[in-house]
Amino acid sequence: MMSAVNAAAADPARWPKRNAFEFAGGTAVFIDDVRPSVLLHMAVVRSSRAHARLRRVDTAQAKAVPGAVRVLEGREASLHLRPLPYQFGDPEMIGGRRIVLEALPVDEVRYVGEPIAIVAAESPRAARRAAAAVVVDYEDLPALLDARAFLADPDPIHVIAENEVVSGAADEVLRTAEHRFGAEFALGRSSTAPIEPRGYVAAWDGTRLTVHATHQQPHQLRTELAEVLDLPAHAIRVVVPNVGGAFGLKMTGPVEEPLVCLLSMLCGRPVKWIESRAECFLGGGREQLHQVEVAHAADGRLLALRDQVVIPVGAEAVSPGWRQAYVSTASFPTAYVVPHLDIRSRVVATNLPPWHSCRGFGKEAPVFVMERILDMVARRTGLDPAEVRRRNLLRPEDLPHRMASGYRMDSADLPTVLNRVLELDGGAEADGVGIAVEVTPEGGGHAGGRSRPGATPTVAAPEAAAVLLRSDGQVEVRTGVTNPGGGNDIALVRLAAGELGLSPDSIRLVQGDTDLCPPGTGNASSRGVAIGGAAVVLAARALADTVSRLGAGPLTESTIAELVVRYGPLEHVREYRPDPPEDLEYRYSYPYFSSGAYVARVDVDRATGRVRLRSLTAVHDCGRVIEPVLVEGQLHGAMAMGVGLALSEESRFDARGVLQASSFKEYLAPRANDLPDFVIGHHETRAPHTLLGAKGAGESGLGGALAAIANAVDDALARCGGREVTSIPLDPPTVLALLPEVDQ
Amino acid sequence: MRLQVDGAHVQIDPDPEDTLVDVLRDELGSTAVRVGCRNGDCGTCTALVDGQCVKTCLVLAGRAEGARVETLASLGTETNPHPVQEAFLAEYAFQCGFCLPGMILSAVTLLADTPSPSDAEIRNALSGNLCRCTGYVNAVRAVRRAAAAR
Amino acid sequence: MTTTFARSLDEALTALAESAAAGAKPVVVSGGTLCVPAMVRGELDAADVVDLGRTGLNTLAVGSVIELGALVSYQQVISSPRVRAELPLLHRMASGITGGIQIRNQGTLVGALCAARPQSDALAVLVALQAEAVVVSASGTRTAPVADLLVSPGTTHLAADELVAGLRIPACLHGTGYVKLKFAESSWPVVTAAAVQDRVVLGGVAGTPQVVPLPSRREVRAAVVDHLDALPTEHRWADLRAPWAYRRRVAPEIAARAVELAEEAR
Repeated sequence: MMSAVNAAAADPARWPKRNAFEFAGGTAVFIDDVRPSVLLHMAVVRSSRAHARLRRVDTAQAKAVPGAVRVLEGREASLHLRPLPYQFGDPEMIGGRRIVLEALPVDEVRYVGEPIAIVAAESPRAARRAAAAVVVDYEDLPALLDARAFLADPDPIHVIAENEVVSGAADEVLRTAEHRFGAEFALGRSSTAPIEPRGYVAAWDGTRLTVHATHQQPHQLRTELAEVLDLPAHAIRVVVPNVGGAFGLKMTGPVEEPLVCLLSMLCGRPVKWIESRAECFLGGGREQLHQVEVAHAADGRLLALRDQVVIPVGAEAVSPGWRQAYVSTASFPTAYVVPHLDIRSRVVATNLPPWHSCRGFGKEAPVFVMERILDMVARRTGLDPAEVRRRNLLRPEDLPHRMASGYRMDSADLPTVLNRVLELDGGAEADGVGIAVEVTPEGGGHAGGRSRPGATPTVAAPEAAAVLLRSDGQVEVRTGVTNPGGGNDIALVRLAAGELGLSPDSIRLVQGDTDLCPPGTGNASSRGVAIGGAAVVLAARALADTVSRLGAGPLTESTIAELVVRYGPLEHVREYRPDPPEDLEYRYSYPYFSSGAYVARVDVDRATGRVRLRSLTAVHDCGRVIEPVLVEGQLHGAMAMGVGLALSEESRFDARGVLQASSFKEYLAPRANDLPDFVIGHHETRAPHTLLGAKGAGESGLGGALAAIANAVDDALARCGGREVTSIPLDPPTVLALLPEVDQ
Repeated sequence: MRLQVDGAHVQIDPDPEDTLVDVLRDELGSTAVRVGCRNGDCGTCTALVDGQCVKTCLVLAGRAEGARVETLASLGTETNPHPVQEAFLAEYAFQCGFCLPGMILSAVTLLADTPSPSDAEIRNALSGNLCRCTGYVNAVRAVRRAAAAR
Repeated sequence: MTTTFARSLDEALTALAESAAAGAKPVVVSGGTLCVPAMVRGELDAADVVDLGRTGLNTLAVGSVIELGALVSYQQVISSPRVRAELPLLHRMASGITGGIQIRNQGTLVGALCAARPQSDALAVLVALQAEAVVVSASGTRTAPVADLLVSPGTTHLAADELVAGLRIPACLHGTGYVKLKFAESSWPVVTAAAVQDRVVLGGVAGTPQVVPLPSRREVRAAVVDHLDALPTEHRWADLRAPWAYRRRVAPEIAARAVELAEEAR
């Protein structure tokens, strides 16, 4: 059974991802496979209290555990570490307050699971034993665990940011309109849960720190470590091996990053930390509470929307997670025209683990809320849900469109993607059908909005690439874009090969090494190909120009080798930033909007509330599609996550703030037999402000799928006298509670 | 204790608390079994033990004394891949690739018993393995392709 | 921690007896799918572990009574044509075990019995089939109905020096039905119902399986409602997946579906 059969069809040149046998053959190296000699292992002592003063942290017994090398609590760590810097810019830019955060707390813990002390030991087991031997004496303080508790007693001390998006006169329209309704929407807290958790290997050699990390942003990590450890940036090298999925989890900011490095510096030996699954599940995001009031015309047109939003982002942290709250608010009213808008959100710090960036980055919540509202308008006017959307969608001629928040929608053809998905949907028999239209601002630039008078204009973060010839006859491309596993490497290689007239096999791509690669933002906000790819194209073009000026003729393995002998590597470095038109009135914001429309069909078991997804169809517009197989792969993954969020994924905590969903047995991520095949169509509205016309894929699909499924469940419930869907996840108890209890 | 791993006879001295995945990775340096949950949920520690497709994070190492362990690394080579490996590569049935030990070995096990599986059988067979990147769409395609290639 | 990889049942029993005599509470590993990760995480504090993996207790013998050893996996149950023919209820339950090919190869019925989890797939079915456990220790062998072994969530009537070497299940060819409600493939069962002859056994509604006698096939729902409403509050089961009220509302339907399947299989 195990013998290899010579597959006549085996043709590596036709595999979408070249040189990928290492993944199918089990030789690919991930962070836990990095095993330097004399390695120590870190374990983390975590708070068992949601909010408490630390009376005493006693490490004496831990130090005596066999194999324990170093035990460090907050007071001692603070002698070595400077406070953590905020990631993604100043919090004030998005209406946020700032506090000083240390890697390990000295006086107070703010959530169950917060690191209190760290251990370095000879083995992971010894480290865990020593960590368990640290004795912590707590004095409990009052804890705030959820948004409803905040609403019951809205003490401003918990509010870390307030955001508002206002245009027109929503108050007056809502007061006088003939047709209006109110609703409360809730999204549960969920996580990212890549199959590979976080992990780092830090090695200090006395002068230089080398950090291997499964990470999305090596350059940002280097900058952070330099500041916290008080080292010059050039004394730090961050290297990213293959990454086993990220989805936002692996951005810069978690406190274990400087801590594992500090232990290596103090012990003079390499130190590894691999997060456990239970630790990985502590992080999360996406939880929101929306209280909306809607006014609409009898013909289904939206007139006014007021939304009072509470977004509980967990404990305050420097990582970018909490910024998703701003994006949610600023993305209203998504794909639609709403003449009078009044969205006010309060971002609330709670005593749950801090948010981390989660695929969707806050853009999914407004899609859910708006798509539910559109269906509610359809229900109240008796109109077809698709028709109600057509009457409210932004039309191509409305674009570019400056949204009330200041976000600028560059281009899209929303009516067409909606009509196309309705055609593509197979119309399978099902209890309920739901549609959704999604817009996804992408490309970086979450802190849009009106500029303050006199403020420095903000610009896009660039990506950079270096392209050079190698003496072995290959071309090397170095990029600041990292690959979380989504496969942007494939597209970057193809783009370089195309510019240089070479086969992709002649390109060697180097990613994720701060010593080798030019600075960049890693992978975030679907920039890898649309912006990072443009930098690769520019650098490759510059090299091609030079080669042509040198009269070298077409590049081949031998001409490349000869050129290197005569001229050296001919390295060309180019930077690229997208170029939305300058508008000093507004801060720079997302340079392109991907869009899409979705149709979900579901069956609902009326006796149990169990929902089965029968089909999910999408038409997706991410501008120019560079690699269809990659775009579809991104969309498949995002849609699957959207299904999970709609139906089953939830990070629940108990009344003491202890995580209840700490393994995949409790946190229900979709498995193969939970899902149908997805059907996908493409529509291309090229991005006017990127070199390649591409807009980026990766986040879109999540909000669209989740909203379409919520609408489909609502449709199924409506057909049997159920109440309206207002929350996700729609697990069976939630759905059953919406159904009338029939007398059996 | 003795063990045969991917055809090689090895001798190891595991800690009583070690699971088989610990031994394969930490003692023997295998990268063809991985740790994603240590709870029998994600499937990336999957190997064939005496021909049985199992999650090695659920097996105390000492239990495997004398066993024949085959990991993903024993299936095929780059120039001569197993049809299931070829199909996963041809269909781009992975993104980060972290889950592939379980995905591919489950598919191999399915096809050994059920040469022409239905889609429902394929999805059922893959259900012991979690993937967060792909939504399983291309993995199902790959198993169909491997079945057709036999 | 000491771990014994017993090479025979006798070796396992000796190790158990020694550990028990020393006052320890030894952990017996059958398939390992539940207890091994719990030990790895430190949730299950096991000074002594007796692993049955090498004892050869993996025989499945089908006669008038079906006998299966402590190591018989769900996959063995699924693959056995005799089980399929003579214990279709067991076959159906095993075929729906969560966790894919691997867990079906690794998980065991005896392990599920000893874990005594209210959210188990296996327990209601074993009780419905009137399975008997063969309980052995160094000092002797006894048989006990499965229903009598189950005390409360996670607790069985097994002494520290005893283990379940196998199960004896009388053939039950016709008229059985099994339905389970779970929320996703990853989810453990929320409510299970195994229908046999004149009774339906419910899992997931109380700390242990509940046998509901059915005076008439027409009154399944009412019988279940009456039974559940009579359950003392402290026995009512709820977990992360669903509160008691949900279970109370869906259980009559799940039971009725199981009975319907049983009728069809008559």
